[in-house]
Amino acid sequence: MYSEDNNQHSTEIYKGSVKRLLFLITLIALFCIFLLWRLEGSRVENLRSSLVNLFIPAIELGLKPFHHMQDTLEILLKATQNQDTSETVLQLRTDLKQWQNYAYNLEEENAKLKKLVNFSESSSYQTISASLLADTSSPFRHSYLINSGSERGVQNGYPATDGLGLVGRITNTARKTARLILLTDASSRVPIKILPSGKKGLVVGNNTQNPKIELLGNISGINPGDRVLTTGEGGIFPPDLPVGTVSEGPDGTIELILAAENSSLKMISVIKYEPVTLNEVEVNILQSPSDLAEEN
Amino acid sequence: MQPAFIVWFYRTLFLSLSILILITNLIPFEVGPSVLTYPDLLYCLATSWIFRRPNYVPGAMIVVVFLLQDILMGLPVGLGAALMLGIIEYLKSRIELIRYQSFFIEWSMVALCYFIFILAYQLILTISFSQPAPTVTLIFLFLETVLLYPIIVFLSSVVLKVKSPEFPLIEVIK
Repeated sequence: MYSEDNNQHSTEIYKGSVKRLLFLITLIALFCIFLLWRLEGSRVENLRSSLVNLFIPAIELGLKPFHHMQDTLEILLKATQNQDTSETVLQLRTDLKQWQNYAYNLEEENAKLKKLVNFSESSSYQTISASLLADTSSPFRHSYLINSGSERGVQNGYPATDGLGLVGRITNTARKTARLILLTDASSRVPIKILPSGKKGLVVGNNTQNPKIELLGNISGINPGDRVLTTGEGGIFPPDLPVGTVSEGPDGTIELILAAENSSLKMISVIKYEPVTLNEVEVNILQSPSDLAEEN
Repeated sequence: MQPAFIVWFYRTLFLSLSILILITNLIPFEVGPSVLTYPDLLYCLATSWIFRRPNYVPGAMIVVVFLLQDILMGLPVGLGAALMLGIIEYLKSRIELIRYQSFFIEWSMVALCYFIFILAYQLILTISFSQPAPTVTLIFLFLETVLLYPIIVFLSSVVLKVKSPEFPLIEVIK
């Protein structure tokens, strides 16, 4: 009786120590995965993309009822608003007529001016449209999953807009999906200029809704509401894409209000813009005026 | 002892609930970053079950679920899973101290552990030169999660019948 009890006791202890060993091994393995992710990011990210691809059918299936609910909610909301719209529609129509005339005039003028300066249409890019698959944002990372991948020509580094303004940049392209890192993510840096003053700077994401604007010069001449556009410097983003407007931040800093409507985003267009290769960028950096000044 | 099929039923239930939570986190409903975030429902579910029926939530399942969260949400792969595994195994070893005590002790234990989790996560992100999260958002995340905990405990013990076993009088006498 005693020995049997003792036996049981020792097997319990044995089981316990095996469990503890397994726990330690798993813990160390997980930390190793994290280190690998940190050091050899692209390889782990590729693995992640292919895993996410495996889950796409499940995610789509799971999201279907929610999308459906969202749509019906929107239809209901619109139906309640419909009653008093007919009058405003008529008013808007007359307004639009005026704007239409204005636009025709501008178009004519624009065409004339283009002829004058021998302008070539090189600044228009091809786009790939995609819809939002999932919102993978968390306090640590601001990103979306979109439903177009390498199958439709999406590549890492392509910028994406929602028609109103820049939304972010593609990072992990899988066959059918891609991850879009938003401008608000802490890893995002976009070279910008502010109009009308023409000052240059960076839009720096900080995982909050309004990214910071870091200016190269001083703040004078910049007012809240000024337009912010990409410069195309560094070769990552095409020039002159609308990004947003300037607003005043806490203690004298300035922030960006995004032009893109992140809260009601459904469709985005990915711009086929090949980032300029590293060598070209290096040449640009070498030739920057500050370097030349230092050499002299 | 419970029959094995009940244990396995609850294990599958935990896994399916976790996947449901992961997918609901992905819904682009209130799309876009804001100060308010989703509370950490997974943590609440896992800890509330751990205190009541640790055998329903084996460590392997914790690893699978939280690793899946890291992968799907684009978070640092493995970090969240490693910290959660550590915290949950620690809580498992403290069950006897907390069971059959007032709920308040359990609640403060869960809150303290979540605080340590967030702190460690931020710290590791900072020392590994990754971008940490804004503090304000993390404070909201912490508060939301801690406030959600009693609701999850209520739902899982009343609706799903995940309750602590009866007080083991006989064993105490022996």
